[in-house]
This record gives sequence, structure tokens and C-alpha cells, in this order.
Amino acid sequence: MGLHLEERADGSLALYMDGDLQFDTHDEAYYHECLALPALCLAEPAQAGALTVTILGGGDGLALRECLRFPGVARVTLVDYSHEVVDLARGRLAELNHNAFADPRVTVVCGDAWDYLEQADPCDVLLVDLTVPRRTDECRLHTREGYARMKRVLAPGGVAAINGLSPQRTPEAFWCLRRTMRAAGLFSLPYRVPMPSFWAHGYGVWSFFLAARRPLRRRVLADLTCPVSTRQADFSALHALSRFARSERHVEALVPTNTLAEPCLLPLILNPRETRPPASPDGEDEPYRLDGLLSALSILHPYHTREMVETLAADVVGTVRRLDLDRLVQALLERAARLPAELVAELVRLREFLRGRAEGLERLGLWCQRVLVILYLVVTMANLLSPDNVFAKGSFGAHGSFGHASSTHSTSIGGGSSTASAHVTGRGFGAGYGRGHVTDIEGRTTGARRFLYDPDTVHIYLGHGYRGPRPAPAQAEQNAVIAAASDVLVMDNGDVVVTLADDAYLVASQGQVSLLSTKSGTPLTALYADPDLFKRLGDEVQRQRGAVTKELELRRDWLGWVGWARFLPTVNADRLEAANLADAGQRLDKSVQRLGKPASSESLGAPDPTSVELFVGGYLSPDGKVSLRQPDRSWLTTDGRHLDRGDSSQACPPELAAALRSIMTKLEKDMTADLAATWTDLSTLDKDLATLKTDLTEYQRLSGANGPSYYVDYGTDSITAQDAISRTERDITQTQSDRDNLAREAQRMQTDLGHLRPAMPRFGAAEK
Amino acid sequence: MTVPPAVPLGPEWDEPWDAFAGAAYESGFMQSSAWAAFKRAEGFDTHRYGLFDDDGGLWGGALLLSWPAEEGEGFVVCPEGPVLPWYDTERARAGLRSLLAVVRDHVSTRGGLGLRIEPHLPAPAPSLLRGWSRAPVDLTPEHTVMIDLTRDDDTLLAAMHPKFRYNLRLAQRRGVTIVRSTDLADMRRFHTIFDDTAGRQGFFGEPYGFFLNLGATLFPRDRACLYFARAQDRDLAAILVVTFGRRATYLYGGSLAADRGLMPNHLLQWTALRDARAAGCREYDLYGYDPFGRPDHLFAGISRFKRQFGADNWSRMGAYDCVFYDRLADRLAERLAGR
Repeated sequence: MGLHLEERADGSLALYMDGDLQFDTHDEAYYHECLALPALCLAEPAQAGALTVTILGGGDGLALRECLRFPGVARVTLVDYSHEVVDLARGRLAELNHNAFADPRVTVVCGDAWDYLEQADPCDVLLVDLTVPRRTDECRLHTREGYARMKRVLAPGGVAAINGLSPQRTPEAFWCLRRTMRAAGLFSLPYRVPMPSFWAHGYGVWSFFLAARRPLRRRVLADLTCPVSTRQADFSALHALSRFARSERHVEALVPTNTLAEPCLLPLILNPRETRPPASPDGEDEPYRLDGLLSALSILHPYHTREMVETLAADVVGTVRRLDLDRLVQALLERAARLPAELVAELVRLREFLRGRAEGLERLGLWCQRVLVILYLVVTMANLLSPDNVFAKGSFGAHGSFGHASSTHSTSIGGGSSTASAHVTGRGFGAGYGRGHVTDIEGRTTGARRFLYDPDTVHIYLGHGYRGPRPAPAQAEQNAVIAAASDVLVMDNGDVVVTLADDAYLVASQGQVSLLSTKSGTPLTALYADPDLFKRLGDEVQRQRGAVTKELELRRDWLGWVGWARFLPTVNADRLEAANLADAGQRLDKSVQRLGKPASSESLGAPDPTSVELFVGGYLSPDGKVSLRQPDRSWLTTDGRHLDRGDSSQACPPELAAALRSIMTKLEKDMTADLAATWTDLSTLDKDLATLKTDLTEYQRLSGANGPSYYVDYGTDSITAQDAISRTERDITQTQSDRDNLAREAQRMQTDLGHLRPAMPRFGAAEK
Repeated sequence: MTVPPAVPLGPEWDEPWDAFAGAAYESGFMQSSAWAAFKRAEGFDTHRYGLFDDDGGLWGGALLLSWPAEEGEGFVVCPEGPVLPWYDTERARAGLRSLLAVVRDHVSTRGGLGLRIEPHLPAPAPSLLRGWSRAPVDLTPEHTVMIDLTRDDDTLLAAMHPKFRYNLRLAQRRGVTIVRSTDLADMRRFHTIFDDTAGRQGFFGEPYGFFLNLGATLFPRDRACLYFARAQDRDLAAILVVTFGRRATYLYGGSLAADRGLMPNHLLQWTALRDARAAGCREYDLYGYDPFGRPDHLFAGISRFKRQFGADNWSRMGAYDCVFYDRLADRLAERLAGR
């Protein structure tokens, strides 16, 4: 167990156990007073004036400290499995716990709480101060069976106080505890414990449960009189802290009971507010919907995010064909007795197909589709249950069939689709917000982004029907405030900017879109407003709005409860953050309005299928000309020197040529890198093919010399030469087909680059 | 070749195992005893097995990790391993078979769908792994930059990009100093810098608790060190370097947005890699790189920095799975029959 006592310059302490915060001296008094004192007040001792207390966990001695100063406490037994914590409590923490372990009323049992409960004597007060479980086996005391053991040791008039979870961050898990207590025959009464230190660690508003063998009504908290003074807790607020709205209480009916046989607590802790019931088919005729099933996958590890789970699921779908399906189908057929007859018939057909003995598979039967979908699920789960190190860092394994993650080389918006996981860390919404930085929904800040254009004239110049003079260059810069995606910025004025390259960007507002250069205050040209583009931008801004609303609600809820600690500077910072989130929400609303809807609902494509898309509405043709789709659907064409519209021609404004050059430069870089990655993959596949062919020759030789039933090594298996030959032949076919597909891909990229590279110099000199 | 049984290696084997695994080119720190301790603190189960010849000489083995979960079955993973004589195919095959036998035994009671391995071998995977499948995720970065530490300062510097040398001198001239620490109390400062960087760069940053566990297990075993770049009593940047056997690895790092003009990162890396060489390491792994220069790649920024070291790109075959098809079929049959 990893124990770390953080000793700060201001003299305060914080204890971490295996990386989890146990207490912080800034607010530990609040925690331990709220845990121990209400239960002590409410217990009706079996023997008047002689309260007996058992503490499970709490080896730091702080809950013990509270018990010992309560009148009438005759005996306290503290059960903690960690010698290390108890030693620390007796030593470095002795001053903090008022030397509690030296009190003659205290007995310390170093052992497992589960075992202790089995044979413990009854007590009047049971304090359960365990760490929050991170593994299923650590959830044992929070099962129906665990609570039943607690109930057994509680005297008839006894009261337990149990360290809960966050009703705010993990409501399902929180209500699962309540439901499980109920199932064990314990009456319970939860109340919130708003702790600034827990909040700062992302744990949310915390909670405890009072539990007893007799009903506990909320009003007992209103009438609570505590015979000892408190340092931080204010029990007059306890009644309010125990109020849960009907909509919150309703969750209890929706969550399962946590039992030893069917543990459900951990997935509920790790999947706050995201647990959705798996989509199931409506009837026999409805095929499984893969997307729904995959999005229902749970997060199974504390360091995984929803985004990672979805990326992984997509990768599994891309790589599952790398599994030996023939072998899997054979193994399934060996379990035919357990399977529905229709499925077995379909599996036989599939096996024949996989072994090349059936010409074609007319249509994969419904049952086989189910096999595949369940296979995706089981394999994705297996990967989620094997947490590793590099995954979280954005480096992935085999995408599709090869080693390299493909990066998109379309610079059209949507290329950089947002990956925000809708969890605001808050930093960017703190004191730095709005001071020229750009903040994204996860609270990340980047440096200032300013764009020189005039919002009033941005869509006019060169637009449909415009015959007037060139508008005066803009005088004032517009500031970006929120990054909605890696290439989508929401401006101070509500406009949406899509960055295309160093020197080029789009402005979308009022249902119109224009191309601009960062080097000029005059818009380059208005473009056809593509409804798909507007839909994607609108969806992105709305999604951000949704996340802001959710986070703002969480913070307002928090601020509503933490009144007791308003003296702490962190709470003031939380208040500022909430105000900034509200501001961000208003800006996003404004942006949705300002974005508007394009006049046409028709998305228009490229001028011809051989052209390369530079961005939405901008295409490079094989003849080296760039075509820009105008608002009236006509084309504006330029070779970098001339700008043609219908019959008229003029010199291409140098800033337009430079902007297009900048876009082409970026695209060329992207495609060159992708092509290099593809060549590397091709060379690997070639080497693999050569080895496979050598192996095949060797297997054929062994088979010829010793007969087809002769056993040979195939990887780590030992199989007949005949099988090895057929598997190697299959591997060769597969690898060859992968190679051919990849070669086609490389060819396509080369063709595009062949158009791009000679055209670029005509649009200006290379950027340094 | 007959299959020698893989023997469980208890804590008394920490030192000899580390000496053995640390010397293997295809292995790395994730096979070390210290890493096992770290993974245990993070909630994993760890198992270590050795392969011995008739004279009792250790010639192979593996540190295996599994995540105890009752929600389903995962893979037993062997990052940067197993440690085997990969270029002696028959011996490696025999070793891999014995390790598979213990993994099969393990999953029969604890659950699991197979074994995932990732020795550092070049692509394509050797024939020895026929019938295994490429994993959808890797355990360590597929591409990295590896600096050869068997050279002296002048040779190292001469190989570097002129900009690296310039920035190195710049940092020194502007009074940037490097402070080393293996004190867990400094982890808070490190995490503040790391977290700020993660936020800025848009990658997932592990929580403070993760780093506490990392420091608590690696520092006392002398396997990791923090380096802080400071100027005028302020932290500018920091890195965490893991050292194991022949290799040092720059695993985590970050810099604060202000004062980046002081170029603390070059001096930090330079100090750490010279330390690694002094400690007897032969390579310094910059851990993660995009060799193709893709502008939108998550590693794009850091790759530009790493390119300045003038060292070679190292590409690896990635992680491979030996799927236990019988167990996978059991799970599928259960789910299908359950409908």
C-alpha cells in the first residue's frame, strides 16, 4: 500500500493512500465531525451511559478522536488492516488525533473488517470509514452480504455511519449503496458532506449514510442536539443536507443491488451518469445495432475516458478480422449443444465459407451477425480490462489492419473532429478566462487567437451580386474565446471561425461563409454555404453548450452546499469558475443564433471526381486550377495568376493566392506524411509475405518428406503439416489482399500529390 | 526442443531478475521489479516467472500483469516482454510455450482471454508469432527516438540539430539550473507542471495519485528521478526519467507556459541523458514519436522537439495477442445462449 503524507509549507497536511486523498487538514474536522457525531447522538445505548463504538477503517485516528470526546463513550474498537496507517496515526498524526490511540478505552484490531464483523460483539455505534473501492474485491463490504454483517453487529438501538460516495458525481453508485442497505434490512438516511478538498480532487459533493435496524426519519436531523462543540460542522444545516429531490431519489429504483454474486458497484462508480442499458434487439428480425451496443460499453478503469472507450471499440471493430475466425467458429461448433439450432446451422455455413469450400456466403444470417457483434463486445471488454500505458497517450495499435493510425488528409472542416469528453476540468474557466486566452470545453487554455476582419462586411466582397468597390480593410481584430474543436473557434462576437492553415480561415455567420487570409483585413471571397458544414458547426457548438450547462449545474449544486467553508479561497475560485461557465454558455448561445442557417439545403460536390478537396467548397483540379464554389453555385476559378468568373477574368489577388498556397502546403505535408507511413507499412507487408512464402515452402517440404499428418511448429502451436500449409496459404491470401488495398491507397495519394505539387508554386513562393 | 516449466520467481529474485531483464535489448523497465510494485499499487495483480536451463541458469521469463475484474475477462499482459532469446527461434518458442502454459493455468481460475506481449522487435513480427494477432492497442509507443549513449559529449552534441545546441547554451547563459529529486514531497510540484502541460497540449494526464504511486515505488528502488529546471527560484519545466538496466526512458514531462523562452527542456534532457550514461545506460529512450511528420498527429509538437536530438527513429512491431479461442468461444456461447 502506498502511503504519502503531504506536508505543506503552511503547516497543513494531506494524507494519500494508493494515490487517493484520505484527508486534508483544511477540512478534515468537518468530515470526521459529520461522520461520527450524528451517529453518536442518535444511538440509544444498550446500557445507559456506556456507548460502545466500532470503527472499521479510520486508522488515522481522526474519527476515533471525535468518539473519544463524546460523553458516555465507554469502549472503542478500531479495525484497520493497515499497520502502516495506524503507526503513522500513533506517530506523526498523534497531535492531530489528540493522541487517541493512547486512550485506555481504545482497542486496535489490525485485520480484515469483513472477517472481524463475522464474530464481533454487538456495538451501539458503528463507523465505517473505508477507502473508496477501486477494484471489485474492495467493494465486498458494500454488498448486501457486507451490510448484513454490519446489521448483525449493531445493537437494536444502534446507529451506523457509513462513508458513502458522491450523489452528485456518481449518483447511480450512491443510490446503489442505499438500495443495497435496504436489501440487507438496514434503514438508512443519507446526507451530503460538501468537502472543498474532495471537490478539488474531482470527487464531487461527498456523502455519508446513517443506518440502523429501525427506521430513521429525516426530522431526527432537524432536532439533533450535539452535546459537544464542533470546529467546522454546523449541524443546523444537516437536515437540509439530507434533502434529496424526488428526481434524485428516483435513481434508486433504477439501479441494481450490489451482491457478492452479482457485483455492480464498481462499474457504477466508474461510469457516472453514463451507464445506459445495452441496446437490445426488438425482436428476432431486428439485427443488432452495433453502434448502440458499443456506446453502452462501460468504463472499467479509473484512467479511461468515454472517448478512449469509444476509440478502442472502433479499433477493435477494425481489427477483429485479424482473429482466426475459422478457429473461433470451430470452437463454437464444439459447443453446439449449448447453442440454438439455427445458429449452429449458420455457423456450419460460415465455417465452409471460411475454409473456402463454399463459393459465397449469400448473406450472413441473423444469428451470425449476433455472433460478430457479441464478439466485438467481448473483445472490446477484454481490452478495456487490460489497461495499459500508451493507450491514454494517443498512440494506438493497429488501426484497421496495419500499424499506423491514419491521419485525415482532408482539410475540410470535420477533419479535426472534436474529442472533448464533456468533462470540464475547470482550469481554463478560472481566473484566466476571458483575458485574451482561448478556452476549450475541457477547460484547457491556449494562447490568444485574433483575426482581422469586419463582421459586418465579411460576406459581401466577391459574393453573389456584389458590384461595389472593395470594402475598406478591417481596422479591429476579433478575438476567439472558445475552442469548440481543434479547428473551430467561437469568437467574441459569436461568429464561428474554421482554421484551415496558417494563412487561411473561414468565417461562418448568418447562414453565410467566407474565406479569409490571416495576412489581410479584407475578405478573399464569399463561398457557397454548405448545409452540411453548418450542421456540423451547429452540432459542435450545441454539444459544447450542453457540456457547459451540465458542468455549470454541478458547480451551482456544489456552491449551494458548501456555505460552511466560504472562508476557503478555493471556494471563491469555484464561484468565479461558475460565473465564467455561465458566461461561456451565453456566448455559445449567441454563437448558435449568429451562425444561422444557409439558404440552400443542398450539399454540392466537387467540379469533377478527379479533383482534390482542399476544404468545403474549394477544389484543386488536375489541370492545377482551384475552383471555389460561389454563393450562387457558380465557380470562381484561379490558377494563382488569373481569377476567372464565367467569361470575365482578372488578376488573382495575391492574398487569395497566398491563402490557397497555405492550404495546399498543409495538405501536401499531411499527404506526404501519410504516404511515407503507407510506404513503411507496405514494406513491412512485403517482408511478411516473403517470410510466409518461405514458411510455406518449408511446410510443403516437410509434408512431402513425412506425410501431411506430420506435426510441425506453427507459431507456438504444433499442428499437422497439412493444417500449417492451409493456414499459411490463408495468411498469404490475407496479407496479399491487405498489401493490394494499401498499394491502391498509396497510388491514390500519389496521384493527388501529383496534382498538388506542380500547382503549388503557381500560387506563390513556399513558406519558410 | 522440450518445454522447460516456467518457475514462479518470488521477491528474493528481484535483484537477479532485474539484472537479467535489464540487460535485454528487446525488454525494458516495464519488466522490472520496481514496475511490478508500481502496478500492484495501482491495483494490478503481478506474476513473475523464470525459465532455467539444466544448470540452473536463468535464460528467460516474464513479468505478467492482470487486472482483477469480475465484470468480464481481460488479457494477461506482458509489457516489454517476455524476456527471451528472440533470435534463437527454437529456444524462444520453447520459452513462449512454457509461459503460455502458466498463463493458461492462471486464466483457468482467474479468468482471461489470452496473453498480450510486446517485446521490442522490429516489424513484421517473427514467424514464431504465427497464429497470434496484432493487438488493437499497444503497451508502449510504436515509434520512438533512441539516443545512443555509448558516445561522449562532443559526439552526442555534434549529432544534434544546431538549434538544440543553441538552445542548450541559451538556457545555460540565462541561468537555468537543473535540480534532481527523488523526494516524494516534490511530486506535487512535478504534477502541477505536468497537469498544466496536459491541459495545454490536449492529452490525457494521469491524476496526482498515479504519480504518488509511481514515486513511492520507483524512487526507493532507484529507478526514477525527477529533474526540475529552475530560474530565479521558479520552476520552469520538469521531467521524470525511469532508469532500468541498459536503458533510461523519458517517461513524463512538462513545462509551464510562461518562461518557455528560457529553453529549459533542452537542458533538462541533456542533464538527464548524461546522468543516464554515467549510471551505465547504453540508450536513452525519448518515448513516443511520429516519424512521418504528420502535422495533426498528437505527437506532432513533441516530435519536432525530439527530432532536434538528431537520433534515429526506432519502430517496433507493436503488441501481439495469443487469443485462447476455447475461452473466447465459451464466453460467446454463454452470451448467445443467455439470450
